[in-house]
Amino acid sequence: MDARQLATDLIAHYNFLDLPIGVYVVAPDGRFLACNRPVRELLHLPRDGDVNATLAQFYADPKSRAEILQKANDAEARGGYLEKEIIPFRVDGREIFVEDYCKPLRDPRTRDLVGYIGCLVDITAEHIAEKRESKLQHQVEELTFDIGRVLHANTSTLLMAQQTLDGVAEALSQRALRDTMAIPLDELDDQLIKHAEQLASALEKLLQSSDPERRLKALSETQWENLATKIEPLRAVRDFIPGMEMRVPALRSTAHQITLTCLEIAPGILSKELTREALRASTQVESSACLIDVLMTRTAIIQMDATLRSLRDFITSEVRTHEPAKRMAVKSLVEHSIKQMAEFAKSSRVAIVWRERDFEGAVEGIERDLARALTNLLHNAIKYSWRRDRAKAPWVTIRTYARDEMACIEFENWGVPIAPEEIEQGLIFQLGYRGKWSKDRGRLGTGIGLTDAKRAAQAHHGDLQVASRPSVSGAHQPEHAEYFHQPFITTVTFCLPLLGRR
Amino acid sequence: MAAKSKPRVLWIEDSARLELRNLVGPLFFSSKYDFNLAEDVTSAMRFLRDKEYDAVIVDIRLPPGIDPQWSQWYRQTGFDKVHAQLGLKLLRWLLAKDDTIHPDAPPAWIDAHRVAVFTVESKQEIQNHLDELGIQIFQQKSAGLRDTTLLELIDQILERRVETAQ
Repeated sequence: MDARQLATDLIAHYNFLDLPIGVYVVAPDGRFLACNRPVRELLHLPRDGDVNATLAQFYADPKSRAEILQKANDAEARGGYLEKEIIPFRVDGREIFVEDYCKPLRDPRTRDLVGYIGCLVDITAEHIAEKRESKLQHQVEELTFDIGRVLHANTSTLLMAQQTLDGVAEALSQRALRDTMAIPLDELDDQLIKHAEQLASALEKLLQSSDPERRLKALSETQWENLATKIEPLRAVRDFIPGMEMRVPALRSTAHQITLTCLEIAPGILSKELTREALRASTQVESSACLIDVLMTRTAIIQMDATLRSLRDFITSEVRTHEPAKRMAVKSLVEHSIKQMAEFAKSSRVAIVWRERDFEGAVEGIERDLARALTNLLHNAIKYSWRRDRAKAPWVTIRTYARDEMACIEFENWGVPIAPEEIEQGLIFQLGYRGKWSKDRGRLGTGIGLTDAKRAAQAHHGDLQVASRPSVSGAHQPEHAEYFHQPFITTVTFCLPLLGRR
Repeated sequence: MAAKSKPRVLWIEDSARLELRNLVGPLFFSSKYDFNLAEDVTSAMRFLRDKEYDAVIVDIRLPPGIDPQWSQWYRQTGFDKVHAQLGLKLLRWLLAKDDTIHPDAPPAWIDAHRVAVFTVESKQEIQNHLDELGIQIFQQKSAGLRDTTLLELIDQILERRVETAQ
């Protein structure tokens, strides 16, 4: 019996041409003896009639056909058949990937090989997606392996920068850093404005100290004009430049220019005392402005450091050694997060007020994940706090209590709003999402904290809830331009199943 | 003789208090301009409606502010100001009078000669838009910008306007 006869018999008995999967019968050299519509469509063969082609011609690598047939023969010897063999084909110049299931066909009487029968499945899309996924997986593994070291190097640099700024702040303020840190920024700003007024007066006196002819021997006309135009803005700098963030660098650079100009005054022409007075006043403004800038930058660095540490912990959480769950007192978790955020709170001049400290509840979980989640939530609460009044530092309130058999840890702050739709649509929990109002005043963030905290809560059979409302209800309507510029009270509650008492 | 009024300048920029804060000092202390800062698109619209400016400097990556229409554009791009490029939309609304962007009519006084773009995008990235809108003055934000950059940009607009008028 030859293969064609065998193929005819098979078609008659099994009617495989109607199967929805590609089926073929080929001679030992690959010539098609029969194949159904899916195979014809896959290989762009004529829809009907004889096929004048060989399967071998579609192999992207013709040499691999011998290996595949050998595998099919070996499988037969083991009593099986070749299955799920992925073969790259080339059809009309385009590379596709097929999964081949194949077995030899033998003459029933002589057992001689007369051909091969098999199925072809087009897996091009899946194969490409799988390859891409595997490449991405590899990249992620490489990244997570290295990111710990990279971020560690970054945080070390930040620490160095912070230490340098500490030294600069001490030198500029001529007092210990902790004493400088105790002064509210508003007070330092007031002092800077006073120094600017003094500089304005010193410049005015200098300008009025001699007649124009004499003055022009000391400095050029343009230089005098430059000094003169600065008097009014210096005297009323709060009105001229709204917002401390812009006022400070503006005063610093202006004072620096004035210093340079004063140093150019030709000696022996103007009053030495008045020149010295102007120089002293400009140096004072420059150093007061630098001090505020240094303190604000120091706060930004500490904030960035906390953000990077949390990012590193989040990224590497999958590649760390598995940590078993254990019983923990809620109190110790809260204490840990406060300790972690103490420096940031201090530099941001935000007090942490912990109420219901005597709550004795315990929870079970992976300490590292829960500690990271709570630290992130406290970090956010500090970061998004506004100052309430000049006399008192802003504060974040932490409350711990039991509700519906859950241990709840609540962080409440007064300041940056979260828009209702961001909570209702769950946007704030999306990885990488940063709140609409979260970036005001350059607050840094990665958009990971809330996502990570929510995941951590849910992985421990708990949940995370967020609420944000204006601190004074009815002051502005939601459609009013000022609505989101007023302070909001934001409460983030992290709940975990409460363990029974031991 | 009545004192000549100062040129009016509007800077539409949300980082003016942050990484670009050094640029504002020379402007205030020069006392040459009547200066306003808008930190989002809604406030920019308000300023542009309230008075006529001689120079308007626009950032491309801007937050929307509270206006529902600008918020809608922002929402459509996943609350991401980098992709929303609301600055470009604002410019299209102002200069191409594209009312599909915002239903309100833009101020009639504005034209491309009063506008400069100051953004982190490179010129090539937005060249087509600049050409289409007729904006000729562009400055890319990059590290090491001089403190006088903003001042120079304003002077460039004002000089160009004088040349165009002649």
